[in-house]
Amino acid sequence: MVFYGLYPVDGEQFPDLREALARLQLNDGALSFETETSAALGFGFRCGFLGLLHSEIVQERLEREFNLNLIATSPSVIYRITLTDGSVLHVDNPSNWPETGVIAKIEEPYVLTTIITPNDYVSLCMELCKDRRSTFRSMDYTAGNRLVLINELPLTEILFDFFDSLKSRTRGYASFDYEFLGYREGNLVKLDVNVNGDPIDALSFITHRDTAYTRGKALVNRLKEVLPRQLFEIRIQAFLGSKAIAAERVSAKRKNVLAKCYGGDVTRKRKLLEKQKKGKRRMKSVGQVEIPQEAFLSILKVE
Amino acid sequence: MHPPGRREGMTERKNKKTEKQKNEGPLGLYIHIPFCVRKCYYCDFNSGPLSERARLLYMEALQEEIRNTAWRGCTAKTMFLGGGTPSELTIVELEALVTTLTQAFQFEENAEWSIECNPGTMDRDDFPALRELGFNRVSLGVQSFHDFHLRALGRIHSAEEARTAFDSIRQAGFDNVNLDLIFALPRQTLGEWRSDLEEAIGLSPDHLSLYNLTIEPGTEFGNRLDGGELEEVDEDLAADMYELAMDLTRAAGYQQYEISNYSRPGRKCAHNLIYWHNQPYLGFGVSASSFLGGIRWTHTASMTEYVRTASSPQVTRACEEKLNNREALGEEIMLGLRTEEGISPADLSSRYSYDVASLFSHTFEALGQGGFLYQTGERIQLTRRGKMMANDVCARFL
Repeated sequence: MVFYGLYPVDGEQFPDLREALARLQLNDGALSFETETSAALGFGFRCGFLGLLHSEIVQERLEREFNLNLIATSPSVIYRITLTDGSVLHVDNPSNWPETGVIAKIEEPYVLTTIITPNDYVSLCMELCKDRRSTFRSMDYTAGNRLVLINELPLTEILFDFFDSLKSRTRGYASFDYEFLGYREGNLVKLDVNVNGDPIDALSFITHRDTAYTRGKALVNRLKEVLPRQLFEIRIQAFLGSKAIAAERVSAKRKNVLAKCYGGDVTRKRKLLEKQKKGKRRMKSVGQVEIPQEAFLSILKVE
Repeated sequence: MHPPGRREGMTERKNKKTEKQKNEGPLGLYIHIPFCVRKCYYCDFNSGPLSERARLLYMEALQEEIRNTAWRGCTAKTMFLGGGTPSELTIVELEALVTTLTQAFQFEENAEWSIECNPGTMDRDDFPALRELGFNRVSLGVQSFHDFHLRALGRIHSAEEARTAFDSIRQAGFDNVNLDLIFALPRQTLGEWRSDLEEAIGLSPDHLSLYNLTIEPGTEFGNRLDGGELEEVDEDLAADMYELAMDLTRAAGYQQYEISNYSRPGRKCAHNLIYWHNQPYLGFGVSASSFLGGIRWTHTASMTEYVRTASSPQVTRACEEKLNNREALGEEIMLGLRTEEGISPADLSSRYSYDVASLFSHTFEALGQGGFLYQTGERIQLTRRGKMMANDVCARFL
């Protein structure tokens, strides 16, 4: 139901990641994976999970039990796209999204969501659902001072920061569950991110046309915060098709120099620079720009 | 006195070392004086106040180490007395040390004899005495001409004492004087730094060392930084301060011959050039570093351990490393790029088993296009932006 790409930060860990996934799959039939390549991230796997919780558990196990350092691309559901020639595509990776001109109809999976929350937070919960394109179904009182809130939501809307928002709005008191409903037509678009002109495919995501601008802007702002200043100025742009909808700049770093380097310092300073350089290896280089792991997580934090 | 057999053995060993030295050229000598009146808040050198007895023991051990060195008889071209506060030594103590050194090494005729002085420990009569002992270069730790910054740094002297000390140094006839200043001090303004620079240049020293404050872990400043009591100067302000230093010194006729060092013609610090040119040096004293025959080592930082082993054939080492060819190359580039001469790929290729120009062709190209490196003839040097970003530039060659 939920798909995303998992890439080793260090490209050399690719075979280890394959082996780790294969081993997890032995006793977890619901996990699926196949090789994919990303222009920005190199070799990795498109992984399929039952849902969000499942995906988090798998990623956590890969990192803890197999000692892997991973980058996850933006999550995706399977979209059903009918092309103008009548053929139907199932797309689980924004990279495979067809050109706008050939799309006749896009359908996305919907889920029936149940939120149980204390009375006090109900309006906040309803507001959250409304922001996520919900269709209200029902609201019932249950034992104690609690309400059961039932909504229909596009699955893709709960992939991005929904749990965290719900938890923080209700101070952790709400519980949440969802079940699959079926496919419905949606006005969806693909949002792309460029860094210094290079597209970062791992950051592309699918969103409703109405929220594309705010999300594009939010993502670009977030990236501006997490990208460290570097040797060169960094331009971050969000695109809808060929149209830039948001842009930010990270100005070039101006000064990074060791003041002293005398006899006793040389070894220490060389090691310091080597360490700085190693730290950079934990980042992905795209063109001249080094992108830290957390930049790829920032997409999940975009409301 | 040594029994005859042992003396012979030592002479033999000595000859071997002197032989070896011929390939490496004359040495730079560094002598570490680890005591001072009070530790400055930013200082991460091995130094601090010492009891009279500990100080005596140390000076004794130091001279034992020099007397027994395996490199006895070698030729030296520089001697740098650093610390700590070497100027806290009495003239009598200094005289004994100088005698020991001149007996142990052959100094080139125009050898540079440098001593670091703290304005707070000097009387005006001290400087003529230093000259008589053979010192020909004084490095004065001014750090700032603002008393509140001096206090904030934990310095023991005032700005006025620094001015007076400089006058005394000149009156004693020193024609090779350095002033040390620090910028990017906590809460320092660009205007304050400008006035520091103007005053320093106004004194017309022969050499200026202008350092960006580095807050090292474990120092008083480091602890305050961790505790949130201290804030580092904003990167852009520090960059402005550095650029101002480069502009004002240049306008006053100083040549920036290293990232943090500026000199009048013919007044580069010969000793420091040894470090940056990857030439051999020997360090004496606690936590002193040496580099000889491709091996770099650092003496123990423990005073007790140093004193215990100073007269043994080998002082306890805190670390020792022999760089492989690739590491040595990276290091030489890192050091070379810090200097105005930069590096020569052809020269490096002739000494290391790499074709340096092709090994780094992409790096040279990218950094050249980015405005960090430029080429004049054979040599590749840092541009101004390259100097300001030297860590990122140098790291690409390691």
